[in-house]
Amino acid sequence: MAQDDTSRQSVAVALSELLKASADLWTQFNHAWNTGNRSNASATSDHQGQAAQPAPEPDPEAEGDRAEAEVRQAPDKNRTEAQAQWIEMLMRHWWAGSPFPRDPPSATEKEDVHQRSSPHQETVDSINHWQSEWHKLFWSMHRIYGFGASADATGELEKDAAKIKEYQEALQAFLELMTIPVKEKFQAFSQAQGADVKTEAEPRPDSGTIYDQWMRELEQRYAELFASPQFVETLQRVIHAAVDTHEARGGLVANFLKAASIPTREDYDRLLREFHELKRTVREFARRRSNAEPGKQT
Amino acid sequence: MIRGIDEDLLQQTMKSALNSMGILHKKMQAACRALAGAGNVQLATTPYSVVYREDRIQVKHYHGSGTRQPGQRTPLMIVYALVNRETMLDLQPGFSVVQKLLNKGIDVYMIDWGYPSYNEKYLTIGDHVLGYMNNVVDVIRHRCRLTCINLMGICMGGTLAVMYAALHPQKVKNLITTVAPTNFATEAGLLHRWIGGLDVDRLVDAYGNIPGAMLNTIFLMLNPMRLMVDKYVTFTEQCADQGFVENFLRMEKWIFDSPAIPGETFRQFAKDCYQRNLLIQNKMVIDGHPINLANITMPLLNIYARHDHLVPPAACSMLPQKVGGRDVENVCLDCGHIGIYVSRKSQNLLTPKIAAWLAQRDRPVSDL
Repeated sequence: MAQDDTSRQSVAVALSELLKASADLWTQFNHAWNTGNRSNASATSDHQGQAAQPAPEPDPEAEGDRAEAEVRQAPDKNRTEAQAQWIEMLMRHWWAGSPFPRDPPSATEKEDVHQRSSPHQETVDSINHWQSEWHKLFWSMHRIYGFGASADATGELEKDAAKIKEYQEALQAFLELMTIPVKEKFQAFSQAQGADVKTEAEPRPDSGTIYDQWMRELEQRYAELFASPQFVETLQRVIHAAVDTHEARGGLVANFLKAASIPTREDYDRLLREFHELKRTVREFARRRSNAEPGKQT
Repeated sequence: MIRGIDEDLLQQTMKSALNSMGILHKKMQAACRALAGAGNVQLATTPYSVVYREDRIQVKHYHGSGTRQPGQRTPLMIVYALVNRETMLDLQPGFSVVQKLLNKGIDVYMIDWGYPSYNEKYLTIGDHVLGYMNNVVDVIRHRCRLTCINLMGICMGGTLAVMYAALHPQKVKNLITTVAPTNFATEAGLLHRWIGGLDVDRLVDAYGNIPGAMLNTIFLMLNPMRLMVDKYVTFTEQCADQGFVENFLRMEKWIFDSPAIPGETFRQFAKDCYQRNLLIQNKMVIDGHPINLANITMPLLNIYARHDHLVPPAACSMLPQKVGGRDVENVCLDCGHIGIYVSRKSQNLLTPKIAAWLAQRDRPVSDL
C-alpha cells in the first residue's frame, strides 16, 4: 500500500510540474500573440504614416475607403503569420519531444530544428520543458490503477499467446485421436465395398443390423483407444494446457485488480481458507466436548 | 447411361438412398413433435419435507405410504455422491428407488448436497464426513430417538459412508454401499487410468471447484458411442412413445444437472484415493482422524454392478474382506453404473434385496 502511495505521489508531482510548464508555455504563447499584435500595430502606424502623405489622386473618398480596408486587413495578416510560425515551431518540438515510441530524429533534422528555433530560443526552451514534464507524467501513469496492469501484462502476453497455442495444439492432437476409430471404420468399410459389396452391406446372421455391428465395433475400438497410454498422455496434455490458459487469464485479471488496489482472488482465498479452518476448529472443539459429556447434544 | 456403371444397380441404390432419407426425415419430424409436446418433465416427484439445512446442504425426509413391518423402525439415511444429483434415486414415477423403499415400509432420509459455490472450495472430505454427515446423522437420531441409524451410500457417497462408519461406528446400525469405490488400485476402469497421472493440484488451484461440465464431459467420453450417438439414435426410433420421450428427457435433465465438486474435496479424493489408494490400506486420514476399516463392525451389504464402466467390480468387491464385521455380503448385479438404479430389471432386484436385508437386521435397539 505504501508503494502505491509513493506511486501516486510521484504522479501528482509530475502532474503539478506539467501544469507549471503549461503555464510557462501559455505565457510564451501570449507573448507571441502580443508580439504579433505589436508588429501589426507598428505596421498599421507605418501604413497610416504613408496614408498621411499627400494623395496623388484627386478622389479622396475612394482613397479613404481603400486605406481603411488595408488598416483592417494588415494586423490580421501579420498576426496570422506570427501565430503560424509559432504553431509550426510548437508542432516540430512537440513531435521531437513526444513520449510515444518513434525513430530518433536524424542529424539533419536536429540541425534544422536548432537553426530554425534559434530566433525564438525562449519559446523553444518552454516547449522543451513542457515536453519533458509531459514525458515524466506519461511514464509515471503506469504506476497507478489499471495502467500498471497493462504495462506489466505486456511482457506476459507473449507467454500467454504461447500457452494458448499449446492448448490449441493439444486439443487438435486430442481431436485427431478421437476421430481415428471412425476413420478406420470408414476405410475398412470402403475397402470391403471395393472387394465385395455383400461383405459389409449384409449383416451377419448372428450380429443384428449393420448399425449394431458398427456400434459394437466402434465401442470396442474406443475402449482400446481410451485405455492406451498415448490417449492418456494426450488427455492429460489437453487438461494441463487448459489449466495453463485458465491461469494466464486469471493472472491478467489479478494484475488489473492489484493495480486498482481491489482485493484479488488470492486475498479472498486467504480469507476463505481461514474461515474454514476456524469452522473446523470449532467443530473439533464441539466433538471433544461431546465425547467428554456423551449425553449432551452438540 | 454412365459408362462402366450398372444402370440397374445405380437406380436401385438411388431409390434405396432416397427411401432412407425419407424415413429419416419422418423420424426427425416425429422426434421434434414429441419433444415439443413433452412439456416440462419433472424429476423427484415423491413428496418430502426438509428436516435440516446447513450451508448448501439439506436433508429430505420422504413421506411414505408403505406399511412398516413389525420391529422395522430404524430409518435409512441415503448419502448420494457429490457428482451429479440425488434425484437419480427418484427419477420417474414407477421407477423410483426411493418410492420402492418407502413402499417396503422403510423410513427414508436423503442428503441433498446442493450446488457448491466458490465460497465452498476449501471444504474437505473431513468437512463432509465429520461435519455435514455427522450433523445430519445426529439430527435423525434425535428425531427418531435412536442411538444409531441405517446408512446407505451411493457411488462416491458410498465411499464417504464407509469413512463415516469407520469413524463413528456407534452411530451406524447397518451399512449399505452401492457401486461405491473403495479399492482404487485397478486398471479395469478408464477413470482410474485417466486420473492416475493427472496433476490434480494444478487443476484444483486453477479452477477452485471442479466444474460439473468438465466432469460430465469426462463421463460421457467413457462410453462415447452409447452415450453420445446410440442414445439419440434410439430416441428417434422410439419417439412415438410419449412415455419413452418423457423418461428420455428426465434422464437428459439428470445427466446435465451436474454440480461442481468442492476443490479441496476433489483434491483429496483424487490424490488419496485414486492415486495413492489409501482408504483400503487403512492409511487414509481426514482432518487428522485416521480411518481404520476394521472399525466397521456393523453388518455390511456391498452391492455393485458387473458392467459398471465408472466403478468396476474390482473397485468395490474388496471391501467386505477389509472390514471388522462378520455379517458382510457382496451382491453383484448384472447391469451398469446407472442402470442399477433406473433399469426395470435391476430395480426389481435392488430394492427388494435392500429391504429384505434391512428387515432381517432391524432388531429393536435401545432408545436414546
